[in-house]
Amino acid sequence: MVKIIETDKLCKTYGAYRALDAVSLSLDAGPIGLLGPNGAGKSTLIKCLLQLEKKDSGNVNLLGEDLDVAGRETRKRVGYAPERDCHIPGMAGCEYVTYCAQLSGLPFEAARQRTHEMLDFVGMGQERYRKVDTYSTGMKQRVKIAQALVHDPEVVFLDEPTNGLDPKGQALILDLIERIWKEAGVSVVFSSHLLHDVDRICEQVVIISQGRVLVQDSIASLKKKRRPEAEIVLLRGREEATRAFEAQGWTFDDLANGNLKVTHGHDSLGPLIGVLKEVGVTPLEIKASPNALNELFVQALREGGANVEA
Amino acid sequence: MSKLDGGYRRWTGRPTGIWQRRWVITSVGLKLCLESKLLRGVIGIVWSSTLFFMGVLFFTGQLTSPDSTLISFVGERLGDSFLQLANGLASWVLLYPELCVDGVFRVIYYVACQIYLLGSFMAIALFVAKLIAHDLASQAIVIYNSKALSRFDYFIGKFGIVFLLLGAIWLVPILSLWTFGNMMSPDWTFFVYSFKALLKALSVAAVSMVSLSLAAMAVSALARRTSVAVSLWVLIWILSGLVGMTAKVVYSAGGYISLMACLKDFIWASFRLDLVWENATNMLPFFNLILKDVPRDFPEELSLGPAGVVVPLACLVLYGAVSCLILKLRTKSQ
Repeated sequence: MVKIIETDKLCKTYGAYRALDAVSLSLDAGPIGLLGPNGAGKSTLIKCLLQLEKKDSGNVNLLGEDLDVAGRETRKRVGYAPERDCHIPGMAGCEYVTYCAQLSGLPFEAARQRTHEMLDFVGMGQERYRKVDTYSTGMKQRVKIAQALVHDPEVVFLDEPTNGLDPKGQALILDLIERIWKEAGVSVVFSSHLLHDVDRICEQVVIISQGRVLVQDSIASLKKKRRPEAEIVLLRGREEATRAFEAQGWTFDDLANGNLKVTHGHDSLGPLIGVLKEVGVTPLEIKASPNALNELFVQALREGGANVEA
Repeated sequence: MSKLDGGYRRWTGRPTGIWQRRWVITSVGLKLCLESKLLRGVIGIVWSSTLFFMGVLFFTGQLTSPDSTLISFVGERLGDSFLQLANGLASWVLLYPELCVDGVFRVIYYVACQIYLLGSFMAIALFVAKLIAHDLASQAIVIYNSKALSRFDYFIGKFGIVFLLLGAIWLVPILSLWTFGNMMSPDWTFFVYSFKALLKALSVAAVSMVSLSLAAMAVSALARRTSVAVSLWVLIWILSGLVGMTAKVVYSAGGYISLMACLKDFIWASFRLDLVWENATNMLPFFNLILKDVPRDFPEELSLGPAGVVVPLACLVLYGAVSCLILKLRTKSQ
């Protein structure tokens, strides 16, 4: 499969602040989530990939082309919807998207036709004839996505597209992003600080924290991976259970909340449940350890200074 | 275009070239700027003044025609002195057609250029906000940067907007004046004899349009809010004028601190009305009689031949370079 993004030791600093620290990635086509807390370096990474920011060092290949060689011509094959509003005041929605299409190299007639197709695709009705200044946040996001898609790119970068939207608006935008890959076959690089959003629509994920890549893998693979541990909530039979664990050679710890943490060494909880059944202990609850996706995201949040408990 | 399931179509057309994309920036920007009624009004006033000058040229042409019905009609009402002036002009044209026609056109173009200059400053105040400041304030600059356009392409597109708007104020009237002013003249040779004055006017227009375009873009790039861009332009216009007037008292070239003063002197140095005056009075003593009471306060420092053009032109080049530097630095950080 063609790699749409390849970076090698990509670095970017702003004064003393290291926004990207030797970022090396290799990503296949498809929906890709860039996950990390605010200030992790997601937007900077996108900007470096689009040459909106000049990288300090490292190599970047976008859609198989070396950016140092191909330059801005690569952008004909790329769409971008920035995080902040970027519309031109005084223009109607359809005029704005047509203008963006023409800037990307579409002749006027084709630009006009494609604008209407894209506005239909993102679910804009008659409001496309209204001035963009009068749009709600959700409509502005949709117009931004339409302008990013209007020239039929091979990959589209969406920077925090669900920011500032209510849950219903977020769901609509996520549905739309899902359709971009499924219906249009356009790869999506979608940055977010919300695990749920990325988990829902992406096949691959890159978790970034403080400018470093914590992990780059498929969502399915990360979800499968978990530490062979479990937390058991017991009301009775604590001694029987611990004896059985010792007999199995498993280690265990008493947690501060009174529960028991067992390192059982298996991929599933089956053997643990079997052992408890054998000794006749019925736990109130068995909590599997969080999967790698959750754990790495929590780690990223912690490194980013977020209050994870809250 | 081939249709895929779900309504998304692939676009397989051929992309337009870079000049076409630059033209898109210019044409859309022009449309946005011309939405302003005030701007349309300023252009209308400039064009109206051009119509007036066409009338003056027509009348001057008739003055040089001895059998003109119009001159006979006016002469009956204004008396002998008018007819004397008409006869004097007619004889001047007959004797020195190249100097007479050229002189009249130089005077007309000089006065017209003063109006176009003022009109340009006013027009820029009305559209300066819609250039780069508009894109910086609305973050639309990011959209331009994310397309297959370089910063240079963006500037060329924006430069086109200012250049065309200023072209409507300078080029269209100057060319119309020459074309229609001569079409109504009694002799086709007027086209030939006024050609030198036209070239001077076109060079003034080119220098003014380029320097004003760059200055307008630089001021627009300095402001992050549209209202600031307008205020900044007006402030620079008025303040530099005041500072220039004060500085001129100490040192004559100090006036060039003002862009308007630079352009005014460049216009003067291009048309050299002092030489027109001198020629007219030397060749026809008759002019000395009728123009003896007209004050002649021509700037002394500008009667220095080619140097009169070089100094303001050098200052304009310097302002242009500063404007380019501002544009480069201001848009680099976006």
